[in-house]
Amino acid sequence: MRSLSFHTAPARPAAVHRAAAVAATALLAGLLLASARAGAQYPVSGGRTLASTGAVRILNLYGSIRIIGWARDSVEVTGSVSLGERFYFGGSASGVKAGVESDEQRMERGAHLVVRVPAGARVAVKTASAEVEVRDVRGAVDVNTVGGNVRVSGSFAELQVETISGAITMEGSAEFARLRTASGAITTRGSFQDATLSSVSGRIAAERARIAHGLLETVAGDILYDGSVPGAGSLDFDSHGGTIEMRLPAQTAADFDISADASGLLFDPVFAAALGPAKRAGQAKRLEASFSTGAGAIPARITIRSFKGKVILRAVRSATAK
Amino acid sequence: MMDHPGLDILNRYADGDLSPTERSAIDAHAAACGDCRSTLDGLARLAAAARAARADVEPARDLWPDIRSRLSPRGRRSAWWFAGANRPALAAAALLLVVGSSLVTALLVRRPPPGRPTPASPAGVAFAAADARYVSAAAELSAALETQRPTLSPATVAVVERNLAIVDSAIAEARTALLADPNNRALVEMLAASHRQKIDLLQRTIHLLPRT
Repeated sequence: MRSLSFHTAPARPAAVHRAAAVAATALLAGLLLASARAGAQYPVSGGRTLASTGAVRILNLYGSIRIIGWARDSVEVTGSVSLGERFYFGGSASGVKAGVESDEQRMERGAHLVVRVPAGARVAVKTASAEVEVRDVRGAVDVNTVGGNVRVSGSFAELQVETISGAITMEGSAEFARLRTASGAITTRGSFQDATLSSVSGRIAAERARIAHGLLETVAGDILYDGSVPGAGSLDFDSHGGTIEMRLPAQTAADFDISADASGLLFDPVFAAALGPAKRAGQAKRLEASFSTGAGAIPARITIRSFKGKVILRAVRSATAK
Repeated sequence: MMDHPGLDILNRYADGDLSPTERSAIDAHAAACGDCRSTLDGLARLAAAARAARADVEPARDLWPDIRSRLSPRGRRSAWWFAGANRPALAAAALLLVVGSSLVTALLVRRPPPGRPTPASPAGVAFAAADARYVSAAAELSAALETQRPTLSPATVAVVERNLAIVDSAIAEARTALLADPNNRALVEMLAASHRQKIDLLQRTIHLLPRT
């Protein structure tokens, strides 16, 4: 039998060292590249004096932004920014601007910023998909995002939020609010003096609601209003195809004007009794009706217009009334 | 015979928005389908009324209070520090305010006695004129959006197009209902609301930053 033997010549030490150095360099470069692609980040921070009602402008397309009102006349920014992106922060005592710039779309990375602002500041935020959270800001807040979800809480003098597909969640109160989406849902829990909640296909839910003057409108999305309406208030509901549902205290004093598909009505007996014989006008299948409920108070005005969606009026009876 | 075309297609036919091939297909179908022919006739009358309507329908009262009330506080403030103003969007917004006011005003002051709903009634003609202005404003914004489309992300474009289609379908249905009941003020307001939603969505999309 033929035997086989293997012989390996010993390597020269210098060549080994050079090869090891090249390999280590390549490995380091690879690691750096991989870490950059994986979203490696570096910390950022800064602070500036700002008037208590000064303006704060924030631009961060991807990642997240948290804005917190505090009882100081200054702005503080902390957070982390992806490699390859540039953080900027500057301005004066009347207005500051902070943001993150990148040369290309970097949705997989994004910056994560926490911004503390004077509670009375006017804050404007613009993002693409970055999530936005705002709390404890009493001044004016204006958020504009494409697909990022927006969550705000507190008591706002003025609140404007616009998204294309992001969801909007608001808790608290606002003197003036405009919340708009195309397909995102809008959920509010609180009171408004003047509110417009508008979506094309997203659902609108006003829970624990007390809106003095409001417009809630969709094209295809459902609308829920669960709460109360102050005396002399006015609420308008418009939806082409979505269900409009109101849950109101049984004793609510209001003048209703309803235009809807007559086949899609579901009224609590309290409201059905007030409706009485329905007046049908134009197309036989449409209901055009006006009726009043409650007594002894300045009635609110509630207008409901639905092309083909359901209209549901539920009466909520207090525990003591049961 | 092809399936019945949707209302949105018939509306686009009446508006002259279809290609020659598409028009031929609709013509062939309508020749053999009484329902679709009847719908097309109604839409054609509406379009004719819109073309015949005076472009300068004068409201019976000063519209400025309505416009001012819509500007503040109901109106959307312009973004006060980001993008520069878009001229087509601003022009359309101004037009929208005037049209919205004149639409309802025209219905209020020219509403004929109940029980006489005729497509050729003054209210119907006034509405048709206002409707045509909405269509014109939306077309201007759509053209502006087309130039911006390549700069937007495909996902954003898909969401916007899907929602515009929803609004267009609603507009088509409301228009058809108004053909049968042209003096129904609630229907007019619902149609106006859908028009506003469309123009609002177009404006917001035009203001989006590139690559978003």
